[in-house]
Amino acid sequence: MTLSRRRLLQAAGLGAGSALLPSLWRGAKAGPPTAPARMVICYTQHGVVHESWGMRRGMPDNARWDYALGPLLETEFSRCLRPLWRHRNKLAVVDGLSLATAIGDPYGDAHAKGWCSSLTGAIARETIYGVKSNAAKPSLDQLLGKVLRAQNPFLTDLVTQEFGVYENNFHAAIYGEGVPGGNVRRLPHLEQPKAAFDRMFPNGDGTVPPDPVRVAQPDVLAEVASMYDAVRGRLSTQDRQKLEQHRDLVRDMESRLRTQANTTCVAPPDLENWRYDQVPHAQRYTDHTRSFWDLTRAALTCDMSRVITMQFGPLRVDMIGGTGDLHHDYAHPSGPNHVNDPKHPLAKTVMTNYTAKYASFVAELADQLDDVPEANGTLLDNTMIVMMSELAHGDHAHDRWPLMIIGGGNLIRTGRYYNYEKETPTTTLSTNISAEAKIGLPHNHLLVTLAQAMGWNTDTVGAASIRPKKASAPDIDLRGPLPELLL
Amino acid sequence: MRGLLTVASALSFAGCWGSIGDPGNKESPCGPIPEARIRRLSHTEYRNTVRDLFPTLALPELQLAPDSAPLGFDNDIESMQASPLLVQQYNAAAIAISDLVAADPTTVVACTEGSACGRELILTLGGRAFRRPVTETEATTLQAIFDRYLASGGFAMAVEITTQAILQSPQFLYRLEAGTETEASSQYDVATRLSYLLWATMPDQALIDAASRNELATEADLAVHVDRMLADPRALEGFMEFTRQWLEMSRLDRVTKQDSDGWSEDVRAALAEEARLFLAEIVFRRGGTVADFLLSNQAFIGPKTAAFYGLPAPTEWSEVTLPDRRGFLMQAQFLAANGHPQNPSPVLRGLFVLRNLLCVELGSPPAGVDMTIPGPLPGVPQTNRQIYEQVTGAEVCQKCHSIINPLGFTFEQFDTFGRFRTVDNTLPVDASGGFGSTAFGGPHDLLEYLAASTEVRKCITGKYLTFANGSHDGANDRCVARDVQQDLVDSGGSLTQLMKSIAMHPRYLGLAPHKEGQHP
Repeated sequence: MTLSRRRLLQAAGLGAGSALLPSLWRGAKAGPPTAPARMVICYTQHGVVHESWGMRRGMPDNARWDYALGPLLETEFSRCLRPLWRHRNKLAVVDGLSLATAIGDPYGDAHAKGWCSSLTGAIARETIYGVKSNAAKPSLDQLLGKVLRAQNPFLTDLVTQEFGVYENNFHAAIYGEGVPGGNVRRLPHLEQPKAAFDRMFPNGDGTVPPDPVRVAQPDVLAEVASMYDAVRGRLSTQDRQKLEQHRDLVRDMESRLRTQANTTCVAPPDLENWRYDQVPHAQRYTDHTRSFWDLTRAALTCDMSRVITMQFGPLRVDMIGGTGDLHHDYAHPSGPNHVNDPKHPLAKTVMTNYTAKYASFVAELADQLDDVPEANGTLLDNTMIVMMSELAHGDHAHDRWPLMIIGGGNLIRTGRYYNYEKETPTTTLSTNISAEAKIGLPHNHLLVTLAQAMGWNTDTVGAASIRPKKASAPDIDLRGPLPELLL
Repeated sequence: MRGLLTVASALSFAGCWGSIGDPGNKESPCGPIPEARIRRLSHTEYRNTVRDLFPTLALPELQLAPDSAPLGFDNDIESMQASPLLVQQYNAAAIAISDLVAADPTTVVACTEGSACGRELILTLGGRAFRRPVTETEATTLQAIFDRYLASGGFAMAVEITTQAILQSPQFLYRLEAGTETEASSQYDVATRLSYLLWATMPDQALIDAASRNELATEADLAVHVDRMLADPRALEGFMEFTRQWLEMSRLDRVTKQDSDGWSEDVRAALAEEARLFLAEIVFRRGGTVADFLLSNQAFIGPKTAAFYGLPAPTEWSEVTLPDRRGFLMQAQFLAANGHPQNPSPVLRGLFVLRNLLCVELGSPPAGVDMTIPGPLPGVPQTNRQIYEQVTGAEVCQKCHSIINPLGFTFEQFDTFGRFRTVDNTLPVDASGGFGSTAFGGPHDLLEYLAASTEVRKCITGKYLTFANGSHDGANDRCVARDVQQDLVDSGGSLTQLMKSIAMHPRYLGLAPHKEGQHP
């Protein structure tokens, strides 16, 4: 049994003929004069093979420049980026940045450092146990969710949604604020499209009368929240804050359900529950992704969500022309330090296919969003689909971090390839690397750029500065956007 | 082969940075009873609890996003904060369960109609769910919910909604300890601490009844209940909940091997079952000791795993005496789980011994090092050991790998599936190793060293106390740790005695600052 995409599209009001749906999430309220800014973060793993990803076209590596992508032929696009060629006028490729905060993190393996740093802009927190670090600050998507809800009281806790195609992996890149005095929380994501669908459309498909038990849920949650208020007993301040946090989340859900009860953005037939063992892996991965894209489009169209994160688990290697273990047989041997490794040539080919496969998934989402007209263009013009990874390439590196933004032409300057100079003093603590070494421009500036494009007036995301390895050098300023990208 | 070198001196000898747990200071005063912390049910505890709360219902699979486990256990108090998704999932679970209850309310309450029946539901189901009698204030709140939906939707709906409220309440999802006027734990708190430690689920009626009669206060009374609980099948669940996390058994779920070498999902499942049977039967049911865990040559083989031991395949799981292997660490589950797709990992195997048996944390690898899994260089035959010696040979690596590798190398007689081998890549296997100044000729020497080690017993005690308390505070409580360690020694290293010792400790239960007659 497979998930019925057609039915899902119908459920989201996005079947044939429904592409002109305006933002309906606020029910009878008039739509906004201009479409809101949205962002979809697509998180992959292992970085890229630079020689089959980058398109510097003979221009200097160590310089700041940009050029228009529009004139390029499909064959002139790199193999990794070629699936995005049809969106080239809405594409921004950002080359030459570094995850300076991950490079400067002394703890954890490189994957963990990337997960903890890439969306937080901060050095991770060490844990007592093992080598996996925890982030020290909330991630950009969660910060934006908080800011946007403060700006717009009609937005609910679904202002951010966290999806994942997650195949028995341990990575996590989304972090939220903990209770005061506590640590940042690693936030889980939904792996089941059906569960996401139920959360987005809890009131049935309209073909049968609403279930009175479902209708009662806001009131039930209000009662539950009051039970958290009534708790007495031996509670420390932190324990009480923990219960208050839970209570607030219950109230948030109550508020959302009341909003959903009044929305017209629903025509949901029910869906079969998805089971992992019902279809072969490759098909499941693809169907899972497409189902989440359908839900993403619905959530953005209705202004139900402003930021969605999609964490891709590792592709099965047999989906991209290999056999064995993707991580160790292909991802790492594809790195430039492995040029003498007999696995290197095939590894580069497979990992190029890997990035291209993800790019093709993302291109499908861009197609969907570009099909939805909005007041000032299409949904894609108001949505930045940001592709990123925890590594730069297979050698556990964080310099020359690959970044792509598809869409968001009303928010940033798209249709261009941007390159940044490698002139930042290294932040590494490694004894093997000279203090005179240079890395790319810190990616914090990219995070600030995205934040500002989303309407958050800030000059800092994560750390405001970081120490370089060179003792005599001044702190590295991590504030401010990438001005070239901002409109 | 038993060395006198302590773990601490072994570390300082090598110059590696790290830490070891040593809570065994016998001179420190115990101080007052530690402040009780609220604890959200772990996902295992939650699933077990709803199973036992509704024993006649066929519950659906309940989706709960995993909690993080920074201390190695997924019941970490600090990490277990609510998230929007978890609140959503609790709501979905409550709806799914209550839907079944509403279909047949007699599963939770004997009466079938009216507001008075609602009160009976609240007092019976609520009492069991809250693990203590429902207070009058709580009953009034729940009764108002019941009566509202009784009026608007009828009896079944009132039962359904009230059940949902109970299942999402803080009294159910969290272990909230009310305490007593003297700040000691209430008898119901004691019952809850016992049941979640020993069974990983809610107290049964006998335990609640004992609490109501104040029969969980003295050592003699507690012994009766703890012995009863350890004899119950749920005690194995409690033991396995600790063990699977202590021994990192989920690692097996994530490893990849080459199918062409004989790997399959059936093999993966069989290896997991092999380990479960060994721990359940040899270590738990037969009262096994730390030495049994490390040195027993009894094992269980099945049709899919016999070949790993060079034995003929039985038609079903069978207990065997392995001629050349001893203990958990020489069984295929451990060896395969700590191996890479094509080669065994002396680093993972050595780190496992350090982290989980000696409680040595070495911290993280230095920044910038390449941690790619090594493979053979073309042209020149090399053993796996030689490759690892080569790639970890730099001075910066040797600070820790001089400790890790000699432990892990002792397992080089086993390939990445756990199959015995004497030749590796056409070259003879070298399984010699050591720890500190103690040399090992192979894995048997290592295991005998560990079985005789005081540090290992301290480490396992600390791990169990961390699990029992959901926090490092448990392992660091010198007062409890010293007593439990002593009990473990006195029992000859029995792991079930370790469970009992923690469960009986008045400080763990919140009954008194220390054992009677012990150092205050």
